[in-house]
This record gives sequence, C-alpha cells and structure tokens, in this order.
Amino acid sequence: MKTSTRKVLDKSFTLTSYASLALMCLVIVLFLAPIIVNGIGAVVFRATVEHDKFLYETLGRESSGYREELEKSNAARKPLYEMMAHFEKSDNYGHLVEKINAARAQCLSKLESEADIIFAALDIEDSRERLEKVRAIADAAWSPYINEISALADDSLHNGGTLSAAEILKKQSNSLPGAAKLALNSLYEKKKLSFQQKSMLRRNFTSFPMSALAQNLEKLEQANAAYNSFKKGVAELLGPSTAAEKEKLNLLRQKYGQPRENLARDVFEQSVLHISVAEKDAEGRDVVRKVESAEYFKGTPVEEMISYMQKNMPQMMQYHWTVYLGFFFDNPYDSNIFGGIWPMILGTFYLTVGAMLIAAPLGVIAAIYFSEYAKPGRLVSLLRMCVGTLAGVPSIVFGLFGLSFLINTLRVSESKSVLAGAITLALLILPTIIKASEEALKSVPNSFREAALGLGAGKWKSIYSVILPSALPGMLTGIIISMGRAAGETAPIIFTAATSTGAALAVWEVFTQATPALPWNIYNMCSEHEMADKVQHVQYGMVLTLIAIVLTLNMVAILIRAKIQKKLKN
Amino acid sequence: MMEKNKMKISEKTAFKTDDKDPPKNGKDYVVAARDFSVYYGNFHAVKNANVSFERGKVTAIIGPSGCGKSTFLRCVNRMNDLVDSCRTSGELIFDGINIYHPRLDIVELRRRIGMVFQRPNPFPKSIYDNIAYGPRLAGSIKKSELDGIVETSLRRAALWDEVKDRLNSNALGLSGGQQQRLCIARALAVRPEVLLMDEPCSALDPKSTSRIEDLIDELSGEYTIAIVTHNMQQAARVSHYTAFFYEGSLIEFGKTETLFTSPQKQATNDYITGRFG
Repeated sequence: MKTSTRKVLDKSFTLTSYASLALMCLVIVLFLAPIIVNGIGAVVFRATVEHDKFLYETLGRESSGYREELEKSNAARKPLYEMMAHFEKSDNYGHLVEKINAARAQCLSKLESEADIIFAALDIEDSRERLEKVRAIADAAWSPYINEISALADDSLHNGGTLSAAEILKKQSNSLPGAAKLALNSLYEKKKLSFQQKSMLRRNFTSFPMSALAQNLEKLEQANAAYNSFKKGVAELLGPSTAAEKEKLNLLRQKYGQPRENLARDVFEQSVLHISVAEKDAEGRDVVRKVESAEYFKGTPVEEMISYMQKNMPQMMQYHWTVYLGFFFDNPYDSNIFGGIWPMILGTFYLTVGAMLIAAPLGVIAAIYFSEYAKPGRLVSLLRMCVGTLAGVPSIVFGLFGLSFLINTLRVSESKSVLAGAITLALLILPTIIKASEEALKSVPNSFREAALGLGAGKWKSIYSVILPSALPGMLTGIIISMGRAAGETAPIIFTAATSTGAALAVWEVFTQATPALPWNIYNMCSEHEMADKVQHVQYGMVLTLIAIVLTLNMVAILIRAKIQKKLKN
Repeated sequence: MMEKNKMKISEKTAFKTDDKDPPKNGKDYVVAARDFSVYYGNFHAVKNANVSFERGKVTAIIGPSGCGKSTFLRCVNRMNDLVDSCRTSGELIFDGINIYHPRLDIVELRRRIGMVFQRPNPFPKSIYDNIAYGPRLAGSIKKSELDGIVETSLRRAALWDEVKDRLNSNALGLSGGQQQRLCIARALAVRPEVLLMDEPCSALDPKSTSRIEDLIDELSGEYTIAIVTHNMQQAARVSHYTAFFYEGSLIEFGKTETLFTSPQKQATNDYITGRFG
C-alpha cells in the first residue's frame, strides 16, 4: 500500500472515531440535559404561598417570611372572595319575591273574574278554534307573571345573582301547580265541565306558566353551572377560601392550592380562564365544551373577578424561589402531589444493599472456586455455562422466578417483600460478580501464588493472605457496579418487592413488607398514576435521583479501585 | 485424617531409599536426583538426571533456554505441582527421603527448601510484613521474636541498612535489586536448609547483580544453594559445582573449575565457548 493511501485511511479512520465519539456525547447531553434541568426543578423551583402553607400545617416547618407572605396573599385574595360572596348572596332579589307572588295571585284571580269568557270559549264547537281561543285567554292572563319572572331572570343574568334568582324560580315552580289547582277547582264548582274540558283548562292554565318558568330556570341553571365551574377552578388554584371549608375536605390536594408557579399558571389558564359548559349538540346529546370564561361571563360581575385575578395573581400566590431539600427526605403526601420521595430512596437502598449482601459473598466464593480450585473438566465447564446463561436471562424472568419460587414455593414472605426482592436481584447480579471477581483473581500474578506457596503457605492460606487482598480492588469494582445495576432494575422487583405507595420501612420490616422503590415508581408515576401530568417534577426528580445514585456508585467503585491500586503500588 | 496421613520428613522410616544410596564419595549431599525425569504431558522435559547438591556449597545449573534446568529446580520444592500436566519418574531425594512420595507434607518440604524466583515478587504489603509472612505461617509468634527474625533476615540479605527506617512502607516501592534481596530475605526468614534460585539476576542491572552474587557468596556455607543461570560467568563466579543441561539431559556435572577449564564433553565445550546457546 502506498504511503499516501495509508495516510488517507489513517485520517479517515481517526475522523470516523472522533465523529462517533462526538455523536455519543451529543446523545448523552441531549438525553441528560432535560433530566438534569427538570430533576433539579423538583428541588429548586418557584413556589407559591400554598407550598409554605403545606409545609407549615402538615410538616410543622415554617419557612422564612411565611407569615408575611400569608398576610400579603390573604390581603390580595380578600377582594376576590368578597366579590364572590356578593355574587352568591342569596337575598339579592328578596324584594322581588313579593312582586312576583302578587303578579301570580293577580293572574290566578283573573281565572275567576273571566270565568264566563272562558266558559264561552270552551263551548266553541270547532276544536281548533276552541284551542286557539283558550290559549289566547291563558296567554293574556299569565303575561304579567311571565313578564315578571323573565325580567328577574334577565336581570340576574346580567348583573349577577343568578343563584338567588334560580332559588326564587324553583320555589315558584314548586308552588305554582298547587295554587293553579286551587283556582281551577273554584272554576269547576261554578259549572259542570266534562273531563276533556277540565284537562284542557288544566293544560293551558297550569303548564303554560310552568314551561315559561322551566325555560328561565334552565338559563339560570346553566349560568350557575358555569359559575360553579369557575369557582371550582378558583378553589383548585387558591385552595378553599375559609378554614371551615378546609376542615371538611378529605384529600390534602383539595386542602391546598397549587404549590408551584408553573402548576398555578396551568390551573389558572385551564380552569379559571376556561370553564366547562354542558350543552346539547345538534343531535340532542349532552356534551361538555370548554369555553373562554371572559367571553362567557361578558357583562356580568364574574368578568370583573376574572380581570381582578389576572391582575393580582402574583400577589395572591406570592411566587418566590425556594430550595425544597425535603424532596429527598419527606414522605409523599396524597399521591405524590405534596412531599418528597424518601420511601422510594430508602426502598432502593434496602434492595440494593440487600442484594449486595447476598450476592457478594456467594459470588466471591464461587469465583475463588472457579479460579483457584476447579480442575478443568466436564462439571466445571457445565457450571461455567450455567453462570454464563444466568447472565443472559432477561430480568423479567428473574422477577417471575422470584414470585413463583421464592414467594409462592419457598414462602420467604407472605407476599411481596424487600427480602424476596433482594434475593431476586442478588441472583440477577450474581453472574456479574462471579465474572468480575474471577477476572480479578486471574489478574493476580502467578508469582504471588508461587511466593506464598514457596514460603510454606497452604492453598487456602495463600488465597486468604495474598491473593484475595491483591484481587480486592477488582472484586470491589465488580460488586459496586453490580449494585448500580441492582439499583436500577425494575422488572425483578415488580413481582417481588415493589408497591406503588407505602411508607418508609424500618430495618426489621424488610423481611415481611413490600416497599416503594425508585425504578418501579418512576414507571408507575409516569404511566399509571392518576395525576401523572401534575407530578412531572416528581417523575424527573426521581429519575435524576436514580441516575445520581447509580453514577455515585460507579464513581465510588472507580475511587476505591484507584485508591487501593495506589496503595498496592505505593 | 488428611493431616494424620501426611508424613513428616523427619520421620524418615518409610521414605528411606534403601539399597542404593547415591555415591557419596565422602561428601554430604542434601539433595540428590537419581534417574530423575519430568514430563509435561508427552513432552520429556528432564531426562534421567543425576545431580546432587552438596551441603553448604553452591551448585549452578546452566544450559541453553528450554533445556529443562528451571524445570528441574522447580521440582526440588515441588513448585511444578502447580502445572497440571506435569509428572515425574525416578527419585529426587532430600535429606534421605523421596520428595515425590505421595504422602509427603509439601508445606513442610517447602519450608525447608526455600525458593527465589526469576522476577522479584514481593507481596504488595509492607517490607516488614513481607519478611514476617513465612514465620507467621508457622504459628503465632511473639512480636519481639518476629522483630528479631525480620532484622536478622534483612541483615543476612544485606538490605537492613537500606530499609531499616521504612520497614512499614510498601515493598513495591523498592528498586528491582532491593526487591530481589527482599525476596531472598523473605526466603531466609523461614530458616530453610536449601535455597533454590531460579535465574535470580536475570531481571536486574549489573550493579544489583553483583550485590546478589556477593550475597550468594556470603550465604554459602550456611545454606545449600542451587542456582539456575543463563550467565556462564556468573556460574563460574559463584558456584562450587556446575551441572550442564542440554535438551533435557544432564550432559556434564562436576566441580566448576574443572567443568569450565577442561570440559569432558564436546557439547559442554561448545556451550561454554559460545558456539551455541
């Protein structure tokens, strides 16, 4: 080959390798950057006053400036609550009730005063003409009453007070049939009427105002439903408005408003600025539609509330930067909406250390056998093959094995437990530890063995006093890297150890209790959690914690190896 | 059970090689090979060798690479047991008993026949612990007694003055020559009767080599020493007897001056005059 060709080949090879390295780094950065940024966001974030309120009331920790914050936010919220209270006040239209009742009494009295006209109308031969006549009379008789209630409904729709207006109309529609019946009865007494005539009168003189009432009531109810949707959004954002209201709630997530700025902004956008309205579509089916609340409540007092909130959100929520180290050390509250991930971290720790305590001695002993004692033969190569196969078994199979053998057959625990999970993980990492330890033992120079034997050491003595200490760094590296793998494994613990919720376990509980653990809870929280999109910061926080644990273990492995090697080489 | 079945070398009874002791010629042989052969699988590495190490003298074993000289030496303290395919025939007698007797206590044998290897192989421990390793194996021992052994051994190996201030530092921090002397001191610490040296200077510079040679000179008389070497000048300088191996066979064995000045065999002559090797 010519020198120039060789140079070109050399260069292109170098270039390719650099390019692939750069690509790998890029992928790692692209992959890690969002995790790191979002994961740190679980600890360092813009909190609201609700976060501090939760810390103070539930965990008894008062953050600095909490009282001042609370005061400010309460002051900012007060006008809103006042507006709402005013809007909801029940006696807005108390003074109109008399008027409406009077109109009704007047209309009913017309039945008597115009009895003759009515009877005349009933006597008309032609059925269509008769119906029209009766209707016209009823229309004329009821119009003052219907005008009153329509005016009430329209007024409340424009000026607020739909709640009390709806109350009045409901009462009216409850009492109207009785009153109408009384009036009709007095008519029946005056003249003997046929059954047909009676039912015609009843239909037109009772159901006529009833349907008008129902129409108006429906309008009001719709408006009320829209307002309630808005109010629910406000409660979700700010938390319950009074302490008494708070006491009644069961779930922690209903007792407090949004604890983080981004969540608060989302809720404000989705549940306050937009409301859900029930409507009927073209085919008469009920559908729920999201509409812009500013548009929907245009011209009503609610519009004022919305614009007030838009202006005063920062004051009401008191946004501020905070560092929540409790994320690592607090128990989660109410489906991880509040609190931290301590049980998961502790569970991962138990599982990993447990797996290591079981697998390390077994693995090292097996490695010593393979490397120092085993004479080549069929049995040994069979054993080696088994170890190799074990290393290749998919981790989910280990999980199934743990469930069916350890739990169902051996009954190491009643059901899932940390112990069963740790044994399963130990089996999973055993081949790695055996291989790494065997390599470490093989890398001990033969001259050490010869020297020890030459000085009159027995086989075990030479292994124990010279070979093991020299192989220690390699063994430790293998063991610690295996721990990293055990910490991150999900499949084996699904069947044997992991629960999605649960408290942190005490050491003596690991033999009987299942535990939450980082890998499983990451999966669970991202896919099966009821509030998956509300706890994204927890998801990222757990991912980052897990990565940090695994990387730390690997770093420790590297450091230990470096330190011991340095010591060995002076 | 195993322990009981093991026979101590001192109980010579069953091991006595009865009728035909090797010719003594009025000399005291510590180790004697009689028609001794070594095989690696089918390969006949040492062929019917007859060599004896006289008490208190230095015996050099020379020969070209692959002639079986190291193999022979490593058989004397059964270091070749580490090689699975290795087997022997004939007799190798130490202190009147057969080294390859199946019930021999190898640990005791190795304690009485020390070995220094081609490359210095101190343990990755402190200088003190390296020397103390052998004595500690023998059983619990008082600290003061151990200190005495360490000092004596290091003094005998002419290393004491160089390391007395840093006995607790790692042995791997010593130079190659110092490491090899440390290995000699370590071997001496178990008070062996025979010291086998397998090309002890081949990895060392000339200065260190000459120190080791001086050391061998000082130790002879007190210890029986067998040294395998590539270096004919070295063999001529340090040894009283020389054995010349060629292609697995012992070609010539005799007093060093005789062998180097008037070799009996043509092959010996060719080798020492540098025709091959």
